[in-house]
Amino acid sequence: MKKILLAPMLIMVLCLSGCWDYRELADVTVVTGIAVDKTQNNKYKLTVEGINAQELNNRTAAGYAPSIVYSLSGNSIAELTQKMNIGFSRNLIYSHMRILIISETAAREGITEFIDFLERDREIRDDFRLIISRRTSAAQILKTTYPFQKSSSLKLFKQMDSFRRNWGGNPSVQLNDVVNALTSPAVQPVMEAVTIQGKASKGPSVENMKKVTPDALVVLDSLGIFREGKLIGFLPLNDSRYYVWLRGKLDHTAFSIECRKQNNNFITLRAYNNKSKITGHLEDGKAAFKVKLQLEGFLDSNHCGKDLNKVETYKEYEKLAEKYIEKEMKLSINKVQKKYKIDVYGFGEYLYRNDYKNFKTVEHNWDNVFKNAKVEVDAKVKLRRTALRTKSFISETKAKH
Amino acid sequence: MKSKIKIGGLQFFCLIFLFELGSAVLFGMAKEAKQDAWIPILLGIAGGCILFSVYLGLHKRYPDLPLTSYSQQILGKYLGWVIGFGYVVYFSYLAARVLRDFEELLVISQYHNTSLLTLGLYMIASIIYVMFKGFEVFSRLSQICLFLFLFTALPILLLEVSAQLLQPENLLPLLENGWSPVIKALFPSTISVPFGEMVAFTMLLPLVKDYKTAKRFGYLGIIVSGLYLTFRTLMNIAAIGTDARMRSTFPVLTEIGLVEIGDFIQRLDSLILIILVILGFVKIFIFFYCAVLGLGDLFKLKKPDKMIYPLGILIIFTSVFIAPNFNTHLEIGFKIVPIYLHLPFQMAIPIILLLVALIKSKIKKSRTKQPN
Repeated sequence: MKKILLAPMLIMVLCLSGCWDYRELADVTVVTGIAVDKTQNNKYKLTVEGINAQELNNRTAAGYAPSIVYSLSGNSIAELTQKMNIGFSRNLIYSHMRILIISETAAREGITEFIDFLERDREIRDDFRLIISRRTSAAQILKTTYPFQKSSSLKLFKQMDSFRRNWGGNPSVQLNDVVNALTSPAVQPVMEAVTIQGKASKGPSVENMKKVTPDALVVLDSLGIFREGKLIGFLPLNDSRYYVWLRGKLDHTAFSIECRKQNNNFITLRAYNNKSKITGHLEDGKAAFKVKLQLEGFLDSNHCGKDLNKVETYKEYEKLAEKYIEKEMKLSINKVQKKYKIDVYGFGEYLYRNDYKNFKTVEHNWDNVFKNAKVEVDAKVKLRRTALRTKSFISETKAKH
Repeated sequence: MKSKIKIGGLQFFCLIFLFELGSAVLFGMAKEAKQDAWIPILLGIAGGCILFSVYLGLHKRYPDLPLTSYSQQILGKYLGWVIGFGYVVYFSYLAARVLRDFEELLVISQYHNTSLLTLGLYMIASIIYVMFKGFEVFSRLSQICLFLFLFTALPILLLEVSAQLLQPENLLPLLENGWSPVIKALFPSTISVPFGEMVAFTMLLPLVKDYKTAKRFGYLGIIVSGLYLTFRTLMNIAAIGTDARMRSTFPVLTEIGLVEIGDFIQRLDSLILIILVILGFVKIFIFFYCAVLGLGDLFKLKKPDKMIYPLGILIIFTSVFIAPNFNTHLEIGFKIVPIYLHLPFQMAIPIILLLVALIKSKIKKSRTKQPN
């Protein structure tokens, strides 16, 4: 009996030792970014960037194009991703996708339709960034080369990450954030917008990588905001930073704050440990919120000429910074309230989680209530140190004259 | 076969723990209660303990017999036999259902070109292999499985915390729509799966060392696994949010897919698949083995082992033909099975059996008293 059992077991072991539907590395092209545009005849134009791995490695690079970008038009993104071999030779794999670019026109008509595919597909993973291309087609962004990362999508991904770390002007929107915002009763999605600086037509060539100032360069532009899955406008990068802060994702940033005398001199505050907390309540259909901001920072430049050896100067600068931040944050929120009339910050989410009974009564027209909501900002700045110098040499030179 | 096997307390605990987690972890429980999904599970522990006390009560009266035997003693030869046979069918059907769950999991997540039949074949083949080695081997194996489980589940927990994935505010607002969705989620679905599925252990209790061990480690197993499931659900909601959880086919896979630490630790799906397959293995094994025991007992077979091959093949094919597509499978699983199968087999019949047994013994007592 045992011997009879042994035979099929051994045969099974043979079958288990490999994947019968594997794909060799030489047989695949890795897709690093895809772009979605609108066309007149079809619903979408899908553009795919497949990298030429040899060119990305400095040792093996021979100076050819770092990636191949190819577009197809059709009615569903899901189908087009499988149809790309009309132009590409190898199997495309999408699991390492870094960015998804949506053109401004496509975003204005709505993003919900194809986001479903991205969420559903097992190969596509939620670790890429969603971006809007402003004033240019999404495909053009993918085609613009850059000397360091070479592939446009890899460059953008890195760029956004570095920007977020240093100045914090972009929220690094992932698929999950967008879907959560779309389905949540009280918050609207946002996406970073990029554009091309220079001559877009010169972007898609190796020549563009050979210049000190590239002819075409993809730059971060603004923050696209949505209502019901449709793009309705853009907020400048500065407001984008305040948005990131309110969402609790701000890492590091820097503020230049005008001195008390307002003589066009500034101090620069480099901030870390930024925190934000929203509290609020709802009464008779009117909402009032209090935003508590907290940051630690060090002084990175000082034109104001105050003596930094004194504790009072620290206190004065802290006050100055607090006032500045409170004003700016309030302006930024008011701008969204007045101009776009939608809640991108998640104020409503706070109410939904902490006072759902009242919130239920205004849920259906929350954006209207938000529009008129009173927002107070309270900032707490802790100036910790002044980098490598105490007094500024500027005050010394002034003293001489 | 019956009298020789005796399993100890720790092994019994491991069996219960892994068995309870089974498909409950896979599909995410009590989805209809939204962000309060953890409440019905917590309450379900109490329900599970009550049901288990019914099974224990029966076991205490007939310590050496499985359910299929004492049903005949309690309800008479014919009715009892029919009910026993009903249980055999029920267990085999559940084995096939759980098998299908895991086949679908593997096809959807990794093996999208492989047929269900192939995956089922490998699973059942390994189960059959262990079954021929005997139940003692399996219960010792379950100890190893528990350690494997802990060694994989704990690092995943740490990774999720360090990836800053958990947002506790996802759990608010508490009881948004009052108690009614919680109660609806609790009964019958959460009580029946996984807690009521302990009915399979009515077949296995005679194999446990003694009544005290069965009682102590049985309750312990239910409570610990219930608490783990509650904790797991809390984590799941905190990580992916209520909405994504409602829409995910396998919430736990969605959750683990989000773990990404420094572009380096990522794509942990296969890790969680290992756990899920281990859990599936234990659960299918237990249902399958109960069906084999039941058949052996009902037909008075000297060697119930002979039933393993035919039943195994039956389970593989049932798992494939049970539903034409995944959606039908889920719909049957969530709408029909809990009411028309779980309710009678897990609750009604055992309770009736216990009541009849109690009444019978009372009548016996009064009869023996009267002549004196």
